[in-house]
Amino acid sequence: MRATFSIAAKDISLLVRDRPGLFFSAAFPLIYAIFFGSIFSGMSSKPASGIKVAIVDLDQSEGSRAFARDIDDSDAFEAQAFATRDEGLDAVRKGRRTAVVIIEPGFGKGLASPFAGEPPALTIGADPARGAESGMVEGLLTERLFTRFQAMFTDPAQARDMVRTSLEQVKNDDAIAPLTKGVLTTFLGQLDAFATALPEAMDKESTGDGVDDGEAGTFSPFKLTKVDVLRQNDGPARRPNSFEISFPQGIAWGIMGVAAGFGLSLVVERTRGTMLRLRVAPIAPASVLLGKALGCFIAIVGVMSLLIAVGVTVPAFSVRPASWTMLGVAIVCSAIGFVGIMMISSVLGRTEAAASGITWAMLTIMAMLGGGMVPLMFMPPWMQTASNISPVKWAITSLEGAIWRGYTPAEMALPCGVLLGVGLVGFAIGSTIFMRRAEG
Amino acid sequence: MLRLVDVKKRFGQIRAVDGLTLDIARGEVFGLLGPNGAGKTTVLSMVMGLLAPDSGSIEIEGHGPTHEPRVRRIIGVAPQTLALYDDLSAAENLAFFASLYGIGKTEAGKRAAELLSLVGLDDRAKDRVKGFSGGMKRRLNLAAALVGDPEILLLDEPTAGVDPQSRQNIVDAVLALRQRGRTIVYTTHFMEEAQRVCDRVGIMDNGRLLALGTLDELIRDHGGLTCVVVETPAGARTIRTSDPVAEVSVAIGAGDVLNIRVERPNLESVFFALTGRSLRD
Repeated sequence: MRATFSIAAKDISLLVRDRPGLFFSAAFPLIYAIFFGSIFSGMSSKPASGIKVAIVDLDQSEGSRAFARDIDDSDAFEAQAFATRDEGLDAVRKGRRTAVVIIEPGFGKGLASPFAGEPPALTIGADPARGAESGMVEGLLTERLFTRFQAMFTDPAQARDMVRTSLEQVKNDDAIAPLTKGVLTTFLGQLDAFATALPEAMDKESTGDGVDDGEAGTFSPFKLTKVDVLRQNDGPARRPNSFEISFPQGIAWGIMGVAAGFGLSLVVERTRGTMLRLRVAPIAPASVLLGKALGCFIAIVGVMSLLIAVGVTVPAFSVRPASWTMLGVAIVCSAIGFVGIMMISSVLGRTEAAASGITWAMLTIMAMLGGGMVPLMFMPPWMQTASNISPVKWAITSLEGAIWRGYTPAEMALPCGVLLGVGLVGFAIGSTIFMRRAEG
Repeated sequence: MLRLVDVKKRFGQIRAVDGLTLDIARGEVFGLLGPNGAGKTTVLSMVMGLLAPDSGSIEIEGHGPTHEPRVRRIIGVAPQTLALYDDLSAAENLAFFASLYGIGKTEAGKRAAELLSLVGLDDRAKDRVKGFSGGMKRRLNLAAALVGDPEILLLDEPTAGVDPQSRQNIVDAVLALRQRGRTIVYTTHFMEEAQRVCDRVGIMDNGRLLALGTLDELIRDHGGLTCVVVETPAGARTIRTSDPVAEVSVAIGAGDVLNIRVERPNLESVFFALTGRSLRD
């Protein structure tokens, strides 16, 4: 065991003394986290595929079901139904859905009489990591609601019923501003003039030209409320800041830097001849591998801890992990997973140049697929599915779960299990090839 | 101490080692000579346990195969490729290699200091190896082979590419180790080195052992006659003889001699006689 620890200690000394290696393991991830943390809030673009939303229909009326179908049929969304509000919110908090759309009770009734009474109510909750998509969900839902209204007006029978009910309600509703009431009465009497009369009236009311009370004069065909999806911990509920969101990605780059460095170190040992000394020393070949693996594990844990420490201690970043225990678990599992990656990369190339190229190509693909470079939402669906094979994704997921998603132990089981599996399989493959070469 | 019996090793169509039989005694310094590609490094790799022979057997102190840890414990290796960590200091390199032999930190430090003194690097103990010259690295490479206090040392071209000062230092260190009774297998293509340090020499070419014996035996059997070169105003004359003293007397007696040079046969001429080419070709 002494030899194993000696090899680990020697490798960590070499890593610390290798300044470019240290930069890519510790400084670069920090730069990455700061850079993306700073720009996350300003980012906007259209995703390549439908936004994954959770639909919770608490109304269960004909109108609410039709609206849910509309969302489901839309290319802009990829909808999944959930039975309860909590299930829908949980799906977003765990990162499985980008947003939840809760169709509140009374939605169908409000939709049927849009000009009086309670408007149809929706509640949306979006993943804080996906601010850009949150705004898009809001806009797209508005579009779907207007489309629903349009559909109602294009059905003569449905429109007649709606107009009769609405006219009655408008006449008897004292809360409607006089100007709006007049416009609505005219509109309902003269459907042909609807397209021009209502926007003009709304425009006048919104600029305060036609009514004293701006609140009373505001017309909105539906009510949209936003809700926080994050689990409330012991302390006050808090939305993650952009650095808490970007640090897991930055940390993932740190892990990759260390794994690449250690993977390369085995090749360097071979090409520079020091592996020969290790092999002729009176130690088992397994001790050499265990020493490398232990060194890599300690270095990854060290780099991750350092980056977390920077995030926590520097006031500008204000990283406040939701659970230190879960964070510890995430760090250990990520380290084990990437020790496995290191073992595979160490046997892929025979020369330093080949090994370096192959290792970084492999890690870059993993980073791309896993959301370490481009957020997953901008990828086509097949690529989002393919991201499940990337350990980078699971490392980021476990870190997010511990830092701000508030994962429970059961929720951490999947990402951590995948990382542990990758670690074991990687170690098995790498050590088998290494031993075979050592014997050959 | 080290016995190889009819050892063969092929790499594809190339016969790297072809039926090598050797018996090296305890305390002996054995030189394995041959040009590049002769099979010397392959022989050492098999002795180290890094390569398995296709056939034949290798035993160290009656133990085999040589990849067993208890056998490796008594072997020290200075490979031809410098096997050192550039970003560690000389002392850290030695301490690390010592730890692989289960030597504790204090003892490793003491041993590192002794070995650095042996190879003349005690004043550079704390300097990182990447700042060392090629010769200094070679000397440290030799010291690293000694950290486990091995009974048998395998030195593969230990003076390749070094400056005269480092070469002298390494040869002196090997002579000191010989004094201490270490068994040493020394591969080189420098004849003068082999003549200085080796008790017996084996000459290899194309995987085969062409000759084996003490220096005197090899020179007597394969070196040919001594050359006496006599220079007179009329020109230089070379006389091949088994009695150079008599030839020199005759030349002086004849008078009119400008210079007389006696060229005794050496390992170079032995190698030339055995292979028809120079050792460094």
